[in-house]
Amino acid sequence: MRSLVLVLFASSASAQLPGVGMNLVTFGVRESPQSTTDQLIIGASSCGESRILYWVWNQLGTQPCNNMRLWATEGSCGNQPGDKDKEYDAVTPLLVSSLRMGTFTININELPGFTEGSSTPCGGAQTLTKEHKICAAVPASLQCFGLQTPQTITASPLRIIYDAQPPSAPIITNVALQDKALSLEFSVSSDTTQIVPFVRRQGDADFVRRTTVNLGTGRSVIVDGLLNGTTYDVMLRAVDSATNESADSEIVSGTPRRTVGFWGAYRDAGGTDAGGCATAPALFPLLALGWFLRRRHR
Amino acid sequence: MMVAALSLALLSQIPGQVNASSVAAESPRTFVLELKLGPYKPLIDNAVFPNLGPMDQRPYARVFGDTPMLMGEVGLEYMIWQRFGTISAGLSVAYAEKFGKAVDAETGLKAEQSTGLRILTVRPGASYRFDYLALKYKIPLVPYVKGQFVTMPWWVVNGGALEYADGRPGEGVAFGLAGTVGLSLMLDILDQRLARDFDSSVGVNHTYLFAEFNLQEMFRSSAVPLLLSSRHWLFGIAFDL
Repeated sequence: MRSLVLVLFASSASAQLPGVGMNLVTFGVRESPQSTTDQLIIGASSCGESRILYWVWNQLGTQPCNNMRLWATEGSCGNQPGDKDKEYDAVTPLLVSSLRMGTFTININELPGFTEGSSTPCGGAQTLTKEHKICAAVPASLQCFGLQTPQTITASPLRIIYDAQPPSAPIITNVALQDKALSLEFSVSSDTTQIVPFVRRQGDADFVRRTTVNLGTGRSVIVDGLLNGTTYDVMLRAVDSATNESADSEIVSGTPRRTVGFWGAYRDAGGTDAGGCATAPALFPLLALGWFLRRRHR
Repeated sequence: MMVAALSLALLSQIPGQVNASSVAAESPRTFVLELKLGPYKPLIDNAVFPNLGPMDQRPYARVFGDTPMLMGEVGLEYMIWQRFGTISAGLSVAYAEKFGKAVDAETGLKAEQSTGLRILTVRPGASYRFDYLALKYKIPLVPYVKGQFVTMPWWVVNGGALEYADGRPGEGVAFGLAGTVGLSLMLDILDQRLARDFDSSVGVNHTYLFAEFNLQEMFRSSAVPLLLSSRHWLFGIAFDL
């Protein structure tokens, strides 16, 4: 048992140390320095945006001997940028070895796959998916001014996956009438990560967009804050990890109805427990018992 | 000299003497830890409801049916006195919940909405365990009794939110007293060596399986209270620490 405790302690302690429990990169480009994934998924809405990215240098014992070059490519990284690649400002070896981490900015619509032969941002509506790599490379050696020739080390690249393909529209399979709410069961395509409910009072022109709901394992959502006895139209939209929104689902209608739960059933039956602080008088018998025992001890 | 050495060697092989020196003494007993599980059905439907006829379904049965709630409980007691049995004082915390379908207010039919009763039970109290025979003569049965003060915060949800009826919230705290009678089976008899190892390595002196009957009587807060009194069995495992 002691050894079990020691193992548990050691494993929990190691999880706290950066680079021991987590899969951090030694030389790479990432969305954040602590990021454990080499992917950045963006959607069509990110097209005109710029993003700050991080380069990370944790090569212990190896020194950068020349500038670190950073570039974006559609193909594989290699040791240096190609003709069609987009290159960013280089980082001096002194900064690389002293700071070990730094930032640079990319414009999404300047990535090489989006500028070639297209005047519309991100290649326009024709381009639905595209992958770029943000690369880095630096000549490095154990001793830069010795006899050893520096070798070019290539960073673990960041993969920027452009996904403008929206998920399929959700299919609403059931509407359950609840107290001041409608519960919708639905099915969605596998790339859906969130669902957005829209609701309007039947007869109104416009839908009101409700708060986006993260999709777990469940496939139901409750649209609440409605009036009992009023009929509402409801529809859903699916959202994927690149924030692409699907087309609208079919519109379904439902009228919330007043329901009686267990508390209502108890009160309707004639139960007189008032709930809340009104139950405090139940303490009186105990207080009386305490008072009685105290008198006897005197 | 040779005879003396031989005698010493022979003496060292006598089993009684070897065991007496090698068996480690039991560590001091201080706490009792109990983990319990069992059915719990409050006597809500035993109240006389003025708005219901003799054939009408009572509230608990109407919403939840006739099945009990499932109660899980954890208790920890400190041993105050250990001579002819053990007297302990401590606290136990239990949780039980039950869900059913709410009823449509107009049609009276089951609606597609869940309603649930959730009950937390906190019971400080004292116990007496007659473990003298088990500890001294290895008779593995330990009867015990307990007396406890009961505090039960409860709340009712309908559709995921606290239910209100007649403008009153479906939540409250009930108070009462409980008495328990139980019987423990000391498991050390199954493997005494393993039991000793369990004590020397982790500090668990003895392990028990037990069954206990709880009689819980809650004070009435009004004429027709939400009566959480019960008579229920709990089963579990206990450790002397």
